Amino acid sequence: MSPAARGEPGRVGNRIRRLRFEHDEMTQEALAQRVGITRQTVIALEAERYAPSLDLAMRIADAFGCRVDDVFFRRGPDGSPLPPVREGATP
Amino acid sequence: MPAADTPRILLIAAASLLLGVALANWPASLPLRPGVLGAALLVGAALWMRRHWARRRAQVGDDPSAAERRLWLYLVGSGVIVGFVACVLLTPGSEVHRANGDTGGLDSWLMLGGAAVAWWILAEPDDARDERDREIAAYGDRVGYWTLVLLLMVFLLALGFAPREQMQRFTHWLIANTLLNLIMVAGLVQYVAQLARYARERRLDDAAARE
Repeated sequence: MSPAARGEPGRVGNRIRRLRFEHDEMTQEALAQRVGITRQTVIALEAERYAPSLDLAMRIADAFGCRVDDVFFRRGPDGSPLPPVREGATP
Repeated sequence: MPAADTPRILLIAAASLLLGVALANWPASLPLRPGVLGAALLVGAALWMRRHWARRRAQVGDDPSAAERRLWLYLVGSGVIVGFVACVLLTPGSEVHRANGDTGGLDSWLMLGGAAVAWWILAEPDDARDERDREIAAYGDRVGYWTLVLLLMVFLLALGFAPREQMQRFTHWLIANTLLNLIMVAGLVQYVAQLARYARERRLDDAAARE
């Protein structure tokens, strides 16, 4: 289980809330129905209390018509978003 | 509105167990069977919970998911039945599932029937369970499994090593019913663990709870 799923905030962040509002103020209920989860899970995701599986992350990204790393990002130790790893960069 | 937290969950579990104990000690002179009263209370609790959650959804939008609603019912229902059956089993001369004598069998089945009606009352048209529910269920399964192992170890040691005179009343019937009750106790612990996990995840800022 990921740190976020264990209830430790500040590891996997997301922009779900902002993206919902940018998509005609999509409700939590509408997003939940579109990706096949419960409204309560959308609430938990937005509060960063739950880190989704890769499959769910992809479905959420599809629902907003963007890439997974446009929705989800890693947070640094201080809670600030870390930049995504560039293509071709050496890990 | 404050989210449900672990002490409140434990308090409700304890209250359910105590209700079961009270029903097991129900005076036989009263016209109402304890099983009927227990079933009526479970149905009443389900109606209250449904109304409470509908109000919570309308006011703050943080009502529990279908999976969590079921857990609340399982917690209260199994709490009452575990308390009742445990008390009957601990009373010398009492047994359950017997056709005659001082039996708690009919009453426990009546309460199970009440729990089934309560389940129907709380059932949602959209009874979806997603990966988060499954993850919490898996956590609850682990807690329930190890609780059951622990309880069985204690009971098996008691069967093997307790003084003969103390274990004399443990007939096959009583052993079977005790094992059944231990499974239900493990279930009760599992429901508490799962509900505590849901409660922890609900402690989020108000801004995220509202759209």
